[in-house]
Amino acid sequence: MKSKPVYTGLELDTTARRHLFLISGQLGLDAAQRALALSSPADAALVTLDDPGSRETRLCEALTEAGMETAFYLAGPEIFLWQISNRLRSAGVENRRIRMEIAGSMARRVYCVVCGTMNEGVTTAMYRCENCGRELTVRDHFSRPLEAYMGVIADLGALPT
Amino acid sequence: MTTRALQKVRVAQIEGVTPSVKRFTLESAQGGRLPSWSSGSHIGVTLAGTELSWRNSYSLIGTPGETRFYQIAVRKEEVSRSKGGSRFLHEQVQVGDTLEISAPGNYFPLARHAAKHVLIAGGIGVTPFLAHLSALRRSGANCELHYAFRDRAEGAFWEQLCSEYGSHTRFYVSEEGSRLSPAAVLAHQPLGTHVYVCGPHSLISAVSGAAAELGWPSSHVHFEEFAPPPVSDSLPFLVHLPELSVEVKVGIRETILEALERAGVPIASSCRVGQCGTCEMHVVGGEADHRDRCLSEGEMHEGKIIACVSRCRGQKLTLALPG
Amino acid sequence: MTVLLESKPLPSLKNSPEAIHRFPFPFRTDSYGYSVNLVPSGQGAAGTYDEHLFDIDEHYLTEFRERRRILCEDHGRRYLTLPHMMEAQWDFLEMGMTRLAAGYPEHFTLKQDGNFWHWENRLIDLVQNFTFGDPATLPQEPLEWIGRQMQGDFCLLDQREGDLYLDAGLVTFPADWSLSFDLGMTFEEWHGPVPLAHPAGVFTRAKKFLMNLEIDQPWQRLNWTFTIGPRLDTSPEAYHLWGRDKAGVTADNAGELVHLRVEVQVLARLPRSHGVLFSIRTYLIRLDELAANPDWARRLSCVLATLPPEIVDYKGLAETREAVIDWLKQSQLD
Repeated sequence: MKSKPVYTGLELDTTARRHLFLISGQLGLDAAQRALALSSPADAALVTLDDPGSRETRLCEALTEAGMETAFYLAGPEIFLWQISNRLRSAGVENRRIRMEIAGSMARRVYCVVCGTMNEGVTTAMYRCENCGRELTVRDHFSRPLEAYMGVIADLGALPT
Repeated sequence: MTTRALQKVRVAQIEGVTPSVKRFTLESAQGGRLPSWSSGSHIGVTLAGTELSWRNSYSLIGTPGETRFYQIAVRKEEVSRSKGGSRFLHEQVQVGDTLEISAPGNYFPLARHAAKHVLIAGGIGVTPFLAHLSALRRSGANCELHYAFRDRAEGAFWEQLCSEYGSHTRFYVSEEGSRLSPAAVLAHQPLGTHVYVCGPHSLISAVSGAAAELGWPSSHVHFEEFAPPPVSDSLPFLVHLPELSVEVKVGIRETILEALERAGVPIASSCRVGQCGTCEMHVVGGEADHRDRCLSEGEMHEGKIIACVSRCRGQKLTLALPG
Repeated sequence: MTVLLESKPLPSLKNSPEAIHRFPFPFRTDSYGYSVNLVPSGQGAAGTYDEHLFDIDEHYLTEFRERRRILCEDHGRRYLTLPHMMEAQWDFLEMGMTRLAAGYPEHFTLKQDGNFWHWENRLIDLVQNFTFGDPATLPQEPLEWIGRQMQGDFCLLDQREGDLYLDAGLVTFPADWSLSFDLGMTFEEWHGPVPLAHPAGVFTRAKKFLMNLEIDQPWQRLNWTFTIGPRLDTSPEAYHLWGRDKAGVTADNAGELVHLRVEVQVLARLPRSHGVLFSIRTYLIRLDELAANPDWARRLSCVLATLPPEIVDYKGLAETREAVIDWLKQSQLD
């Protein structure tokens, strides 16, 4: 499935001169430290963005230090990766300078195509929409802008009347 | 190179900009509107030398999207450096004459969501930036122009740029001893900056090199070369397909694809203008003259060739079918 | 967001003999495979479906009313645009209006005095004066306003960062894809679910082709699937309304129920914005209308018999293929 997101891993981008790791959770930290140990770049920094409350402020601070020479490496739960990478993209960073590795929860945000509601924290292949009650199949079709997977009607026979 | 839509225009005005640069204003020969266009676009102008005709590309200057007329700025090149296209325009074309042009094409567009645009121009390479600056002003984007030229008399449009864009411009006049340093221009640019270069190959190289050295991603460096276009006075050559025991001559007015079809070898094709890649073949011997807009450098090195537009440097090309 | 409710069945999209004759039958050979399949657009002979870039046919009013109904009920998911796409919208409006006025002067008139434009659409008794480039002078955004007056769905792609982004669309008659979900995706992202095409490099080539589109040189390709019943809106949003229909198809009723759905997709460069127009013009023909042409019936049978399983699955044909093949066989014997 091509539209299932592709994760590049945290191998260093050798065209960059500065390397900024943005991580969430212990597993994210572990992944970042593994990557740093492998390559020992001259100019690297690591910023933890665990707390959603302070995340934007910390990210803004980190971005003021970053420049055209900076490559970004994200490690954490899947939803974290897309939230941060979208934020970086809106600051003018292109895809090729953002590398990602899932480290932690693979819980998904699922968009119910029937009623348009976002369902958070979905870990199963089938899910009942919290708003309209339809049983959904979670497709591997992913929307980067919505940071969500597509949920389509699973079984027409089971539709509520 | 590509078969763009062609149309006739009438030369409405010719103005001197500098001793060696003239601005031509072109209107539709039928009356009515010309196709609209985005900043960074160029048109191909069919030029006539003594025996041959060919097409040179010129950037559209002025307000992007202007459909009542097009304007281009042409610098008269020295005899030794060109086939005489610019001399043709400077010396032979007059107000009222008809020219044939291609519809605008754009290989040098602005990066829409850039946090900042840094424009670097060398000599007559400033022309695409006239339209870019107009577009950037309209969108209120953060931008700066660095324009290097030999002397004030020959620096086309510098006064106009200075008065219109003032604090966003910086000029480097080599006769006055000021030189543009790409590294200095690029250093400390904020995250999300895109740089655009147009001018001599040496300038483009210098900026690309400085950007790479500073750690910029290559996708943020855009350049437009005013290199001579591919020669359209094509020469005949032989094409040999050993696996089918076919050898056929490709004449000057036909393509490899057409020659093979004529010889009874149907090659799958679709767009037939060098853009979709369907008629790709493999070069086994001889040197390809690539004229497509489809293959990457890597693919060319791997030996791929697009049969509907590309030709041969030399007299014989040995090809194989793909797959 | 609310769930779409039951819709009234469309008045029949029955085709006249002329409509059948000019139908864009997509199969030139007896088997099927994904290919680039691009040809220059708008160069068909007089009276054919591809004579004009934007084709107007006998179903104009039916589609106009159905689109209006869907936009009334579900506007927020069928018409979506990102803010930076306004220039592309004007590009599209200009292209649509100039082409319609030139191709169908009996229905449309366009007068341009600088930026002051005067438009007449006599098919729906509409007259509008507006200033080109000024959204305040139109009752809706340009894409919606002119798109409602045209047949087909319209997607505007932004070309940037070496890619194409689906950043605006008016899509009321999709073949099972969701604009509201796909908005903002890149070319390869929104094509994600198509099987077989990726390894063959078809999409890299197709994307390159689109990025090299030239002004005034539009291209087109055909796409096809089946639809059960005369239904234009086969969106995922409405799946609970149309998804059940497949189960009711048999070898006896296939001729009446099953429609071959062909999309004529036009790809054109938008000049001011440097974006790309991707328009999808949908044609439906009932199996029993199609079978009146024995060549078509035979070719369709062959294609269905040799279709790879991944494509059968992707196009949602699994439940209906056998019934259609059986019906076609029977009809050829009659």
